[in-house]
Amino acid sequence: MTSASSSTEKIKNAGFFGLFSNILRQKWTTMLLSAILMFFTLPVPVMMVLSSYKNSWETYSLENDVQKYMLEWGYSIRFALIPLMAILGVIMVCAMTRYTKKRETVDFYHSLPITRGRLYASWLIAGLTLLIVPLIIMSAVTLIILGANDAMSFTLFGAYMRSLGESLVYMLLLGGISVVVGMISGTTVVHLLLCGTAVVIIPLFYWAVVYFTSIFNENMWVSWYYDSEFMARLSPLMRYMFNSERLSTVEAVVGLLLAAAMFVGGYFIYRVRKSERAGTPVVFRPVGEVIKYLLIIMMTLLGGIFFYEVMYSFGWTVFGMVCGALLTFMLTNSVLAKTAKSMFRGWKGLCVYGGVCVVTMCVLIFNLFGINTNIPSESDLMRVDVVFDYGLDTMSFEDDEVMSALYRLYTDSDWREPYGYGPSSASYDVTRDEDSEDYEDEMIYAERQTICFVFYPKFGLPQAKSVTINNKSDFSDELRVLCDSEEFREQYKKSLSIPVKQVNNASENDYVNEYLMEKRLIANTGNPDFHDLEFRGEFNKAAQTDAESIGYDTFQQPALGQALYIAGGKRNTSFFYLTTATPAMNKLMYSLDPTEYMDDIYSWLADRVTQLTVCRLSDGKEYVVTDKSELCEIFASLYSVDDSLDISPFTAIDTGYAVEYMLEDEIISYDENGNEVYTVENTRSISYFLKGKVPAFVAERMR
Amino acid sequence: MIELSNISMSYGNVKSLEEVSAKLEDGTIFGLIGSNGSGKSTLLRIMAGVMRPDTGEVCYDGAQVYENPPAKQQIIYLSDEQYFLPHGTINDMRMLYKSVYTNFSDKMFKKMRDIFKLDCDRKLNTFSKGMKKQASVMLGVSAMPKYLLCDETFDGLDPVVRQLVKRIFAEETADRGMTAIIASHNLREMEDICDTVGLLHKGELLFVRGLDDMKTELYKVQMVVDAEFDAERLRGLTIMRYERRGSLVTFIARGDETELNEFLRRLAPTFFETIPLTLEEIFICEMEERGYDFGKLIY
Repeated sequence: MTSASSSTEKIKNAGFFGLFSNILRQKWTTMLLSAILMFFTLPVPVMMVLSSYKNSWETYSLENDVQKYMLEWGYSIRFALIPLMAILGVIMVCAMTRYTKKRETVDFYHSLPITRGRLYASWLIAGLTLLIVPLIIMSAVTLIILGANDAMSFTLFGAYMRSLGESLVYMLLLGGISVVVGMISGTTVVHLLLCGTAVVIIPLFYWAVVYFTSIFNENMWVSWYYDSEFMARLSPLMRYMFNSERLSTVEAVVGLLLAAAMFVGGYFIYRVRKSERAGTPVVFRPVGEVIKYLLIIMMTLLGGIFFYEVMYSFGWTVFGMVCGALLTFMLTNSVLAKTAKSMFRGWKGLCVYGGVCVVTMCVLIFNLFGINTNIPSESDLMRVDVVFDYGLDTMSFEDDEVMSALYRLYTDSDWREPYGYGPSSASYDVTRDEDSEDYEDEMIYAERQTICFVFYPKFGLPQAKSVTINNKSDFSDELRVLCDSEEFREQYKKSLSIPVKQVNNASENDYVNEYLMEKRLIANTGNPDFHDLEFRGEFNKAAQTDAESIGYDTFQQPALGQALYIAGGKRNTSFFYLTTATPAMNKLMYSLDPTEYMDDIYSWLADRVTQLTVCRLSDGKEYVVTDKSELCEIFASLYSVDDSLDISPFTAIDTGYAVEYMLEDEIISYDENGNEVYTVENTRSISYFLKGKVPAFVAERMR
Repeated sequence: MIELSNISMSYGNVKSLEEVSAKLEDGTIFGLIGSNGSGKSTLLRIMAGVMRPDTGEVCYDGAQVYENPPAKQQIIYLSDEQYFLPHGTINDMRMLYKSVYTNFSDKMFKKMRDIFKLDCDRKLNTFSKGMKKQASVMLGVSAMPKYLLCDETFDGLDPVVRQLVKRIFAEETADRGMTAIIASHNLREMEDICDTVGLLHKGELLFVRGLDDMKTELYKVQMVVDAEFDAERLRGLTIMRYERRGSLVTFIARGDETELNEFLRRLAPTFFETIPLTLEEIFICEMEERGYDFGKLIY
């Protein structure tokens, strides 16, 4: 290195280090303030928690339990540390870039013998130092306090360090956003406003677009678009609010890379930023216009949504949109020009924007190009995801035949019909009496199924639709294709694995095991005489022993009550319970496979039937059944013998008949002394035959 | 040497500087004259490397100034609204200057402190405008710059301090070859100190001339003549301005002093004398020769 270049290097480094140390000297009060905030976030709460533990009346040994006690703190400190560091990150950058916001300071610093790059770096590194040094000191103090009270453990240390790392990632992310915004803005007020906007604008914009679209879009499955995992990715704030899980390693790395990109991006913006624009709200005029119109678009949507929600009227929605656009236009113009006299500047652009809005609204209102209703064509499909109800996981299908079946289920089912219409085969209106209305109501309930689809085209955006069909049984062919597919079996097995394992390992004594109840495998009704049994019917045998046999026919089996299937152990398990607890049924309560006792159940039910009527819905013809064997055969053909009608989405009923019966039931109640009191009541139930399982004698007798 | 080559600068639609070119020799004091809004501050900021011109460049001894720390080491820019550290003192600013300017001299700082007699431990935000200007000069000169750019530095200084500052600039220029560029709209202020002056008008540098050159080229003569005297008798001289009030004739002529005196002796008026021109008068003549009404240029 020549002496000229070495002295040049010296000059450059002198500028950087000189300024860096000067900034630290100038801003030592900032460091003190940060230290105070962190002091009250870290050591003080720890001391308070330890103090409350020591003063507790409990007599557990201090050595083991205080560590366990403080572990909770180690996991939860992130909820305080993350927002603190994120906010400090934003404020730090605001403070460190403040010199770019005033002409005098810009003139001074840019005249110094130091490049913009080093100027930028010295300010930001100094700012980070001002935050990180007190954080390290206060963390050390906290860990020392924990150690001195024997509350430290490797696990706690690891948990704390992880929380610390997370908070630093958030600090850098929010700091990065602040830097980019700071280099674009020319005043501190606009800097802070744009920071806040930048953090929320993407998720808010997305939310508004989806919501507004859903007003016009037929059967849009809005929840899918608002999936919390996806929303959490739209902004660090959303991630913190919508996902309480810790940052994964991948997320942390991505966050750090994004933060680094933003700090580097901020530098490049700073380099091209003109000094003379200091003091103007937005330094780059075109960027100011972009920000203005982004805000206008967002407020147009939000204004429309607000009035739509309040008034449910198209006219008021348009009013809200116009107000949102106009007021935002006027306000942003005033802020950008720093004078209210400029509030109508660029009105021609607003007119163009208004024209675009009108065209867009026409497209949405009149469903031009089928924008609201179209889904990808069948040949265009790459994948279809489907959710049959919220007890099951989302299932994905890529097999062409299955996708075709699902496509037909969406396009051909009757979800477009107004709410309350029954299946196509239900035409029983010959005599509109009370019974017929009950049959229709119950059938609608049995046939109704909410299905959520996500159609993924080969090219383009996925379309998520949520529909409620009322003629499920008309699509037994399509459901068969679905349930018999390998994809369905594999995905369905996964949702079974937990309860199968758990219940197989459960013993009679574990039947009311709290762990099993916590996992929702067995619900606790609070009454020891009532037990929720999960497994019943032929399906259950298959589920327990060999999940390979799962298929459409598995779901066309009789059930003792509500649902026929088991949802994954993590979610709400659909279970059933008998409405009676007579001693004769006690063995059922402790059985893991009640299918052993189905004949007993049918016989027991038959003994208690006071009246059973089969009604042919096409003409209202009825047939009263009295013979016990026939009664048992009928019960064995119904999809459920319980009065609850929660039916599996894959079970098809025969919509030609309704079965109504009265059961003599013993109801348990308790007197004032807590003694059980049995009373007999007649309960009325309506049920339907499983498809293809109408007993032969019924059809014969009704000929 | 400072070389300005075709500097142009615009603020939006407003042209601030247009094709400004000049060469400023080392060891001189250059006065940049211009009315409000003529582009003086903009030009100084470009010369200080604070702003980048739309076109053209500024070079110090052949090196471009923008984003060039070694070049900027030699430059101190004293803007009209000088920045000081919030709640800082002169000593705090000294530390800052010392940390970035490798040539900063504590000895010079002490000397300046003794001259200006400012309290270096008092917060600068309690200083008056004039005191702040003094502080900025104190710190700027202590950095031992080769080039000192001053924007309306004399504005706010009392006459005594004004003379003090001029003396300091003159001494630094003479002793170590410092070059000072002083922007002002006050011609009388520039007259005492500047070697070279340039006039900036609506972004254009109308001319750059040495003051001595201008003073040795132009002469103001007052003479008393009789009633028959006719201005035609002055043919032979390059007359810039002519005024007669009764028997008193006043004119400004360009030319050699000896030749002029000889001519006047041959003319034999009742009385004549050659009196020194003020900078303002020189400028008026020069500008009128170029077709400008100087009164509108400065006032």
